Amino acid sequence: MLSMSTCVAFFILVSSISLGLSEDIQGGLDPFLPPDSQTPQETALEDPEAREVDEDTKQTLVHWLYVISLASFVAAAAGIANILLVSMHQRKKEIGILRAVGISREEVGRLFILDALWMVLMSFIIGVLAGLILSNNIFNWMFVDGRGGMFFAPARTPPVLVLSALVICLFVGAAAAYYPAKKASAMDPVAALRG
Amino acid sequence: MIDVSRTYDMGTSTVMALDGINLSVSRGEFLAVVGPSGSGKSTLLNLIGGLDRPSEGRVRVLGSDLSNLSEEEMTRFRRENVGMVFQFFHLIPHLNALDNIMISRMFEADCSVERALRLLDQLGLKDRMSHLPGELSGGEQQRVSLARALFNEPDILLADEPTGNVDTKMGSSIVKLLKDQKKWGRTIILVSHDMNVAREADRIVELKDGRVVPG
Amino acid sequence: MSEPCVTPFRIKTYSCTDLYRQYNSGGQILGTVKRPVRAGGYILRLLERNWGRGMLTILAVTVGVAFLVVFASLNSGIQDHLENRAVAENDPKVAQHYEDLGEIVSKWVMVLLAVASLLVMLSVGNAILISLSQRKKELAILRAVGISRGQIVQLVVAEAAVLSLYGFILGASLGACLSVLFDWMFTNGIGTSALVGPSLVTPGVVLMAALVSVGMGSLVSLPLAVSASRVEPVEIFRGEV
Repeated sequence: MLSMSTCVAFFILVSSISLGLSEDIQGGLDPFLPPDSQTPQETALEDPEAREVDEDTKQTLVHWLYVISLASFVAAAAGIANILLVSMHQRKKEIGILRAVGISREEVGRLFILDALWMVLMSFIIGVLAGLILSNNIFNWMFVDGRGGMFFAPARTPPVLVLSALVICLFVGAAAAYYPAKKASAMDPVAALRG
Repeated sequence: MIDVSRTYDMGTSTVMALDGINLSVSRGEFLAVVGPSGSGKSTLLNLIGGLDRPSEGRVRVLGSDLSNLSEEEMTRFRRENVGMVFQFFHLIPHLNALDNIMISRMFEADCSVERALRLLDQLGLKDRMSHLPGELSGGEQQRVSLARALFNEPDILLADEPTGNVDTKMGSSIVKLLKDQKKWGRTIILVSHDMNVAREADRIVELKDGRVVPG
Repeated sequence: MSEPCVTPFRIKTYSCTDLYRQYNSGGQILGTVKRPVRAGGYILRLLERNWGRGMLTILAVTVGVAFLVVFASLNSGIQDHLENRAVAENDPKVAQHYEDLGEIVSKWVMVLLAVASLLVMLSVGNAILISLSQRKKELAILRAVGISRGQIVQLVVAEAAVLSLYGFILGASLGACLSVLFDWMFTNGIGTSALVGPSLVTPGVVLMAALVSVGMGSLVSLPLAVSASRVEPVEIFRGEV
């Protein structure tokens, strides 16, 4: 089970990376950042049309990042549901024993959801770390021949965004776990112990 | 042609499954291996069938020394010369009966469908051909296992407690089916803890604590 | 849970009753059941048995491939668009800026494509990992009966390939539709904040999506397959009394 958990961990890692990237770069893309010594000078654009294209592009790229986070959430949810379905089959006997001993249906279901949330938590941590590392280094790569391009500030990571990302990830994990957990709690203890 | 096996197996992780066995089986013989559980009967069968390697000593079957064979050669040896029937049937759960019989030839261009169908007919399974193992009774599953074992027309048949999970009537008919294979010159080695089953054999070898009990 | 009437894995490979009828009438059966179908039939039946898991994986792969296609085509579209603008522009500084923008967008898209590819590979890898860990005993049976290691590797990689192929077909179609939709939206000036240029679905895009999904998906399963083929036949008896 450990190997499978690590796999789903990487799943959510992907989503967290993208979220992390978007949070951090969002900070860097803020067009109203006051210029300071660390900021390379951007070529002042007089052409209003070009400026508009510039702004649009910045907006778009950040939107795309959010969109891909959505994609990875879908994939991660599928992965978690996958793993939980399998673990439910494997732990049939264990569930039967739990129910026979006197643990109620809701608590058995809660057990599975907690399992999923734990996986989400571990992978979220990995994901955020990866996201931080990536977003700080991507800045260097995005430079185009010394001209600042769009990223004229190193990435910022407001803690609020991290917290909200965590909440979203946990929610997705719980939602993915809902159906397998329901099936597990609905199991008949006699049948589970027998087969 | 004589099958000569001399095996000394120390088993796994300091458990001595077989200790200094010196056994030879002649071709076309129906041998029964009996003994209490844990005496190493299954391990002996695994060694003869090429499923396992001895820690010490040699296993010589059909003129070739199994310890000298590479992984590939051993696989081919198993496929062509050995048929195995197990206590718990061990059929592939998502394939129907016909597919289960043919699995050893799954990748071949010529998968001898006629032979499989003929076996099904002979074993009385022609109505259950397209059913999954989950839909078959214990006796039917064991017959499918037998058909799978016989599919490649092996020279050696190994049966590990074949009657353990079926009722007595089916059990005795399976043993009779096994005995019938002698007509085609097959060597049959049966492992059982049931003495009634073992009595059908030509020779009985008793194992206890990994050693052959003399006499 | 009741089974749906049709799962994409329930492809008929042969009919038992037909075979038996042919056999009974004494005819030749060899031609009916051919080699790829036999091993392929094994995989399809395997996937059908666990159709829920297969569907989930295909869903994940579809989403990933769709995004691959959408972003790649957006990229090619935007590159063209910006190039045209740069060429049509009089002020060299602004033209240069457009070119810079083009480069930045393409780099950004590369990051997104990498993320989407990672998604696809992880989905397939996860599915195969789960499938293999559930089938240890079954693979041991195959080895005992005489299926060689290389053949087991073929089976596992083929399982991954089937899943990713389904995902690719669905995802590429979905992605292509979305790209066409976005293209239409751009040319009609709807929702410019989300799009900066038209999107172009070139054959290159589709090829790349195919390579990533099917190629990488199968590649990911390769090490898993090799380690699975190392299963010893004695595994049949693990977990038995």
